[in-house]
Amino acid sequence: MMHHSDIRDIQASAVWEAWNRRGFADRCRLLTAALEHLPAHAEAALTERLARQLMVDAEALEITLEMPGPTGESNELYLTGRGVALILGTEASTETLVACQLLAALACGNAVVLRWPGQESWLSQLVEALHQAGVPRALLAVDTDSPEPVLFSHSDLRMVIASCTPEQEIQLNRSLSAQEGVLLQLVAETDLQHCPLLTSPDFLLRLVTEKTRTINTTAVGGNATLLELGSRTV
Amino acid sequence: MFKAIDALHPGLIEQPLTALWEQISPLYAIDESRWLRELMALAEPTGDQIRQAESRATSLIEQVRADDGAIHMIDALLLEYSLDTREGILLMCLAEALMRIPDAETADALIRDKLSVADWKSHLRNSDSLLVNASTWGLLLTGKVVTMDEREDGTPSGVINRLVNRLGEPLIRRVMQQAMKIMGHQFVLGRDINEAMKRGSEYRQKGYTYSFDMLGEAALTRTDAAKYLNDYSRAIDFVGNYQDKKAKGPKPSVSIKLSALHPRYEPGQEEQVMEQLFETVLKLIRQARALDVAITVDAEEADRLELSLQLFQKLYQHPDCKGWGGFGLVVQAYSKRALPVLIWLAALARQQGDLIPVRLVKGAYWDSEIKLCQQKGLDGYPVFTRKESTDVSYLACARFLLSSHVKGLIWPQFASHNAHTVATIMTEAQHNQFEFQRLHGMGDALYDRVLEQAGVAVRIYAPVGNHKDLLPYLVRRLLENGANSSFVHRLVDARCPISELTEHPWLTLNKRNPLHNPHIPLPRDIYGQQRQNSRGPNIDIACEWKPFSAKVNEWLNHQWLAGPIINGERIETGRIVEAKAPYDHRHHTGRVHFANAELVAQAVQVASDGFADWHATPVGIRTQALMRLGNLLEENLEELVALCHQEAGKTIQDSIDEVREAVDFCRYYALQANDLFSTPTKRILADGSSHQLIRDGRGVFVCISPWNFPLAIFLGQITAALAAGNTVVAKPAEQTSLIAARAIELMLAAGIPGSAIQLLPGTGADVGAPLTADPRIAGVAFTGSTETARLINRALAARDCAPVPLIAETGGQNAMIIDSTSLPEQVVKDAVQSAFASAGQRCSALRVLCVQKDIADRIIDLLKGAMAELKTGNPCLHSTDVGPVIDAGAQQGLLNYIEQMKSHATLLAQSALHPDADQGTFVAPTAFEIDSIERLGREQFGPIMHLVRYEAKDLDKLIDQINHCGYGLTLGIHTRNEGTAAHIESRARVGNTYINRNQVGATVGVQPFGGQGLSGTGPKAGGPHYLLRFTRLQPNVTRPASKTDKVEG
Repeated sequence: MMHHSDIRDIQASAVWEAWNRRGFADRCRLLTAALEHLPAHAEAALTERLARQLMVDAEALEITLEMPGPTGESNELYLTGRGVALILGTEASTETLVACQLLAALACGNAVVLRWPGQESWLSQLVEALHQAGVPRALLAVDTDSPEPVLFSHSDLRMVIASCTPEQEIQLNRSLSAQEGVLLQLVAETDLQHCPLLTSPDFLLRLVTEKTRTINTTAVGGNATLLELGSRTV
Repeated sequence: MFKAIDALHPGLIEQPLTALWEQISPLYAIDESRWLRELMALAEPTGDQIRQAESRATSLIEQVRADDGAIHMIDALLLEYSLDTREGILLMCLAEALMRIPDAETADALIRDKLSVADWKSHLRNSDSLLVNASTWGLLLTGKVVTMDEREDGTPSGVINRLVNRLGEPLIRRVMQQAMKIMGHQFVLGRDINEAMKRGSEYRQKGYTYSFDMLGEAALTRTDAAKYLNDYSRAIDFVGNYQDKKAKGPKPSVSIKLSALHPRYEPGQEEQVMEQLFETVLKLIRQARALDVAITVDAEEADRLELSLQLFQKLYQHPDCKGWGGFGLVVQAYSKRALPVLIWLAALARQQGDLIPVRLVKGAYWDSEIKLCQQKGLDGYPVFTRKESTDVSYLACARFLLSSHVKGLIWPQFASHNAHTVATIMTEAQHNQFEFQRLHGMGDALYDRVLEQAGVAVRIYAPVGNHKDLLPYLVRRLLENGANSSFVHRLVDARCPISELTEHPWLTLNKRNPLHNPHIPLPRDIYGQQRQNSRGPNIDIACEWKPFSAKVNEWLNHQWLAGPIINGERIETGRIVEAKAPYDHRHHTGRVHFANAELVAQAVQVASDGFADWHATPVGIRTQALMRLGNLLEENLEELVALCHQEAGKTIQDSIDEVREAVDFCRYYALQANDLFSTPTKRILADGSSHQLIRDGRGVFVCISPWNFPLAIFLGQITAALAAGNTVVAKPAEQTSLIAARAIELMLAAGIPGSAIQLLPGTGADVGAPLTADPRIAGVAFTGSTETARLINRALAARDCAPVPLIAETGGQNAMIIDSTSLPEQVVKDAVQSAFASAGQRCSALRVLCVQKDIADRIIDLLKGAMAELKTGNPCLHSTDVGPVIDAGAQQGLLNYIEQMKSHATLLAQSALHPDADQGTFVAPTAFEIDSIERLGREQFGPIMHLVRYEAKDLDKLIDQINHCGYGLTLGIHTRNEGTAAHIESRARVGNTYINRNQVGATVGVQPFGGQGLSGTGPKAGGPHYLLRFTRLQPNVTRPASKTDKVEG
């Protein structure tokens, strides 16, 4: 059982930082290995197929883009996890959706709190399977009894990933927008039959944040490239 | 443009000085190949000259190589640790930083950082030099211990290794400090002028003479400038009175660096320079003349050249200098303006009749000149891009200087360590009225031969000062301009064939096609063929500044008129707001008709109706319009700059950068859209199946932009939305509606249909609120405060429709972390720029400077001094550093905060306001020291910096505190320890990190910009993911996949 205070613990902990630093490919390897051990559920084959696709997509996010720019400076763009994600299941959700959303959030470097009223037992099995596979315990937990407004109000929460009806999505969005602090991102799948969001190539980009790193390389002797260009003989 | 060959006609220097002066500036960034052809005509050698120079150079090199004692001191170091090796660079980096680190912990960490990755063993005993072996020994010992330490992780290393490590660090530090002291001793002739004269005595007996320079960083403060002045004065005094009876050569001279003598030696501060710096140098001239000690003014960056010449002329023509002939300067041959400068100097000397000593060097700031031009988007470079081009320029200048009509006007001082250059000068010279110069510690063997054979004087340029200050400076010059060391390296390297060193550079260059270096793209071309860098004029160069300034001035009294623009038509609503210049409310800029709720509905309807057409417009047509817009913005640069001055209170460079950023957005998003939307995306799934997707615009996007980037962010949001196929309703900030309206006019002129873009100037309540409540809105791009973003989010959520994208970029509580390895002068320069440029009204601006306790006092002293030099005032003036804040509301809020902080924080410094400040909304740049980051509340959007000290051991706690602020936009890091930088960067939850530079001025497509947490939602503006959020992906049902489709795995 997990209480709202645990969100803060996750965000503040070195565990999340370490997970986030592991990189997409490494996390995907670990999570892919866990797929065989997910608890039994309907459409398990579909879950595995979708999850494998998500892992392939997530692994592709590992890349650090070298941006063009002036000499004597390096500019890179890369992706990292946003922080704590709340995965919210409703009566409309399926195990496939919740499991895939969880795996996607973890693959993208986030810590996750799961909440799916009525399905706590299955969630616990799911979480345990991932813990057994090597997902750090402090990174992933199930919340069973925190009221939603309390969950939403936590300053360390960065996004809510839901599967719900369009009407529930509107209500959920209103609740999230009413919070103070960070603008909470809502990533909601409402077409539960075709899952267009989950299968979209843009889906994972909603679960990450971008970082730009600019280094004045000349400060530490990095002018070799230009010197070389200046000395070329053609 | 004059013909370079005319330099050989005696009549040229008889022309009026003003006419010759006018020839200098236009060559600043002239087409390189064109100017090289001119110089080649002047420098072309005859066959005999080529043979003689080659023969003489060969002989010199053979003699140098045959000399057992030829390779020592710095030559030896550069031979062993060439700057094209990892070890060479690491050694120099260590030398640059180690001696200034006061605390052991940080020093040890830097040693570990630099030494754990290189192969020092291979350098041991390769050299007979004491310097090299001492360095290598220290490095090897350290490297070995560090390596053992690294291997502790995962391997069963022995207890002994750990003991060595544990006991070893203080020892290692001492060894390294000792190695650095040896290096310092070699690079620097003496810690003071007394020691320098004594150490130089041996060389003076051989016939050498000296030019002493109290080198160091440019002065940031009046205090530092006064210290340098004192050093120069003492040196002149000492040299003038020193008696060395055994000395053979001419009397030593003193070199001065103008940037050391005034904290604002820059073109924008011409008035101060021509009065205050003039008086300072004149004092030195009087003193030096009385003691007959010649003074040489060192050359610095290209942007300062014209100012330095104006100052030189004023000093040279002063009665106290007239009739002397001992006041000279340095000219850099890598500059395209070198020859016309020399011609002008010869004419100046001819007019006055006093000899001007001129040291001709190849140039010392090549890398930074190239970088600066690329950053500024200039038309070209002020320097040549091939080494052989600089060599040819040098020889062209030398030919002029050695010509008979210049004899007696200029005393040439040829500074070079290149044996062929020296041989060519010796071959060309028909008289001996010149001298050679070399650097202390370099080229000893070469110049020993020259001294014997040439019958001319050789002067050694010798740095004087304490090692701690000077070694970093000298090493940095080497690191930043390693090209100079390359010949030295090859000269003494027996493996390098002599023939490679003796080819005449004219012949080498003549083989090049093109003459300029095609591997170094012009500043406008650094992003490749597909996207042009935006253009900017260089306001420090007369030939660019004068016409630009004149055109801007024509617009300064213009009255602009703005109003809602719906379906391409401007509407006059009668709800008029007068726009006043923030820097002077007496100045009216124009009038704005504000929109109302009725027009909001109308605008949304037009945009909604226009969506189908715009969305169906082929992406190529859409992006062509955006490209045209970019070009139109550049064509209207001067008007837009004037508008930025008058409506937003932006300074000149800020205004230019504003327009450039807008141009870059147009081009970048156009290019991105072409890539993303031209063809459907074929998605291949892990199971091998595939399907096609097409990206579509979402509908009507609302773009709500801020006043702090009234053109760049305004157009950045709009062009992204339009490129993606959306139509747009734009609500600009109330304070900057005129700029927005002008931008929309240009947009319509560029061919974007009136139904695709609607403009609604007005208040948040009248325009923003109804817009964001409208259910037809398919997305919002917003930049502004976190509070407003929250209101918009709620308004969107309150609608009875599916959530739509809100792309919000909000504020920051941005920190800069500096440790004790950093260079204090660079830190303070970057901190002042980051905190106070644009009056601190940038989302990225520095708010809290976190300084390692061990260096805090020095940083604070420098900060106070630098802030005392900041000029607030009319932003239209080149001399203004800090303009007004946007309006009275902002001003009052900031002033209240300052008053409140005075009671519970330490006021470190507050810059002075100019006399007319009360006519506008100015806030003096202010710095407070606080005891903890946790004292910071909400962001203060103005020129207020906080400073907090931290202990080195608490670095991680500091990072935690910064993370806990909740904001996450920019972070600056200053450290020479790359491991530390990487650690901070990886832990900090911020969008943009800048290492060893300022933290403002993100460039589109280079530094995608945006934060996390309270600072924004992402994706980053000006980055590859931005446009995606303006679109939706749908299955492509219109056609099957083809081979040209993009593939996503």
